Amino acid sequence: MAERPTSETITDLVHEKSVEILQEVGFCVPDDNVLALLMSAGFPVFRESKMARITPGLLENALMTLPKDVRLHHRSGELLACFGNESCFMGAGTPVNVFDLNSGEHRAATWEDVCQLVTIQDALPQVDIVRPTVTATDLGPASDLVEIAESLRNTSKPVVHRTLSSDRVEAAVEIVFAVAGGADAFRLHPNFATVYCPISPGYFTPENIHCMLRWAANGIPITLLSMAMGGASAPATLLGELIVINTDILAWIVVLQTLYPGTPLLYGSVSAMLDMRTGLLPLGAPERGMINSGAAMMGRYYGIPSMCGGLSSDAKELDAQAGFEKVNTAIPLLMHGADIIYGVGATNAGSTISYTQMIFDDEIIAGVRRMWQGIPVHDVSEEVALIKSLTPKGNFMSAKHTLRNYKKHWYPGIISRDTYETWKEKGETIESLCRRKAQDIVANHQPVRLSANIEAELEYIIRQHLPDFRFHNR
Amino acid sequence: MNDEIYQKLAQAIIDGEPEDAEALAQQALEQGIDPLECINQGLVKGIQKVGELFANGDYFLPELIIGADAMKAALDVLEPSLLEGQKREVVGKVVLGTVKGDLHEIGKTLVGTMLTANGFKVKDIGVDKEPQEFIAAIKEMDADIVGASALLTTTMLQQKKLINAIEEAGLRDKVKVMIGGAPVTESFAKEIGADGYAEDAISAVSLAYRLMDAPL
Repeated sequence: MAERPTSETITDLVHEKSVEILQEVGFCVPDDNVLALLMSAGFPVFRESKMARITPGLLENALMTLPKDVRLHHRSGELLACFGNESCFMGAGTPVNVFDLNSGEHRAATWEDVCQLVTIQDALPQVDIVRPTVTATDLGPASDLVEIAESLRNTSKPVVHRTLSSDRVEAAVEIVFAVAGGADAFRLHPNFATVYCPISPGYFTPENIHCMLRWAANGIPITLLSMAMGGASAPATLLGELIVINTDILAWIVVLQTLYPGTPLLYGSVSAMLDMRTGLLPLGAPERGMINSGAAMMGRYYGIPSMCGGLSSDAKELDAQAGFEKVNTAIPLLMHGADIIYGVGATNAGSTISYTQMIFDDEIIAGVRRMWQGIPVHDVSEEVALIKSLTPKGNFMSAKHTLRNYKKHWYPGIISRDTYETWKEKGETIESLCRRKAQDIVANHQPVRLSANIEAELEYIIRQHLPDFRFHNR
Repeated sequence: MNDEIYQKLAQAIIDGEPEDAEALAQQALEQGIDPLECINQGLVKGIQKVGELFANGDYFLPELIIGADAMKAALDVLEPSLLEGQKREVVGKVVLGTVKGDLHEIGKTLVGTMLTANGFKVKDIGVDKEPQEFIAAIKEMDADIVGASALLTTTMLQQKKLINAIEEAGLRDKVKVMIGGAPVTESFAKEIGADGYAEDAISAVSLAYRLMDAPL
C-alpha cells in the first residue's frame, strides 16, 4: 500500500508531483514567439503541440532567484506592517455587477462604483490591501486603466489590479510609476501588484502571457492566481486539485524567473470545488477555504507570499448564510497563515460586489482577528494578588486592573448586543446599519489625494486609450 | 429477446458505461434488431431514467454526463444503420460554441450534454469561434437554436457581435439565440437582443424547450 501523506509531507508531495508533471507533460504556451524565447532559454519546447517542459536546472535556478522578501507598502512609502506577519485582508474582485449603494438593486457596476468602493476600503480599518472590486462597465475595454488609476488615487493603501490587454500594460506601468514618483521609488517601496490567472490545467491565454511578461520586464510584482475548479478543470479530490494549482503556478514561477530573474512573485489561489448538482462554483463552501489553504502552505514552501480566496459567500443578501460562509471560508486560511485573504465585499459566488457586505466584512474580520489571538501568556502576579484580595465575593469592576485591560477585548461596531427591548425600539437591522455606514463613508471620507500634477499626468496617460478622459472630482 | 437487449442498453446508460453501451449496440445490429427500436426502447428509456434520478437528487452531474456519453457511444453505432426513412426523433437542433477570444469550455460542454440527454441534437463547434463559424454550422445543421457562451467580462460583447452577424446573414428569423456564461445576466441578454439567457446547464434545457415551444 502506498504511504499516506501527512500534513507535514503534503508540500513535499505536491511539489514533487508538480515537477513530475512539468518534466513529463509540461505546460502550454500558445504563442510561437514566447515558445522561441523559452527554447533559447533552455526549456524543452514542442512546437507543434505548443508545449514546454521544465528541467531540474531551470527549476533550481528559478527557485534561487525567486525573491523571498516580497513586501508591500502604502503610497507614502510606509511598510504594510501586517504583511508577512499575520493574514492581511484584501478587497475582492473584479466582477461586472454590484448591489446598488442606496437601493440595493442588482445592476451593472460603473466607474462611480469603483471610486466609491475604493473609498470605502480606504476608510475601513480592517482592509489592508485594496482592489477596485468591480469592473467599470460604462468605460469599455480600457476600463482597467481607470480602475488602476482610481484605486491609486482613492486610497493610500497598497493596490492589486491588472490589465486585460498587453497594449495597455505600458500605460498601466506609467500610472503606477507616476504615483510612486518614478520607477526606482516604486521598486524601493512597491505599493502595487498585478494578478493573472491560468486556465487549469496547464494553459495561459496568449494575452495574459504578454501582459505578464511586460509587467515582469518592469519589475512589478505579479500574482500567479490559480482558479482551478475541482471536478472540472482539476481532479475532484483536494490533494489532486492542489497538485494542478501548484503545477500551473510553478510552471510560471520558472518561466518568469528564467526570463526576468528576481521578479517579485506572489502565490495565489481562488480555487474551489464544483457543485455537481448544478455545475456552479460555490465559493461559500467549506472546501473553498480548505483548498486555498493549500496555496498558503505552498507559498510558504517556496518562500513567497500567498494570496488566497476566502471570506467568500454564495449568499444573495446580508443574511445568516453570508455570516456563516464568510467566517467558515476565512478560518482555514487564518489557520494556515495565508498572507492575503482575498474576498472583502464579495457575495453571490464572487459575481456581485455588495456595499453592505463590504461594511459587514470589516466587522467579521475584526472579530476573527481578535479570536485568532487566543489566550496570551503573560505574568499573572497582579491578577493573582487581585483574586486573593477579592476572594470571596469581591467585585473586579472597580479594580484598576480591569480599567487597564477591558479594552483589549472586542467591541462590535454593527452587530447587536442589546436586550430584546432595546433592539426592538431601535428598529435597526444589520442591513440598514451597514447601508447607512457605507453611505456615510462615501459622503464624508476624504482619502489622501494625489498632487494635482500627478493627477494631470494620469489623465494624460489614460487619454491615449480613452480620448477626453477626465477624473470626475479633481 | 429484443426486450432483453433494450433493457441492457437502457441499463448501460443508467450505469454510465459507454463501452458496454457501444458493444450492446453493435451486438443488436449483428442480431438484426431494428436500430430505431434500440434507440427508442433502449437509449431514450435509459436517459429518461437518468434524468429522473437527477431530478430526484439521486444523481448529480457526473452520473448525468457519463450517462449521456454512454448514449452517444451507442447512438454513434446505431444512427448510421437507420433504415431509409427512419429518423431519430429530436426536440430540436442546436449549435453550441464559445465566442471569439474566449477559451472556456466546461460550461458550454455541460449545456451540450444536458441538451443531448433531453432529446436535442447538438453540434458543439468548440471554443474561440468567430460569428462566421457559428453561421456556417447553423446553415449546415439547419439549426433551430444557437447557444453562445462567454465566461469573460471582455468577451461577453462578442455575443452581441454574433447576433448582429446572424441578422446580417438573414438567419435571425430561422434561429433562436440563447446565451450564457458567468458574467452574463438576463438584462444583458435583453439588451443585446438574445432570445434567452440561462444561468446554468439545467435552466438551459428548460429555456431550449421554451424556445422550441415544446412541452418539457
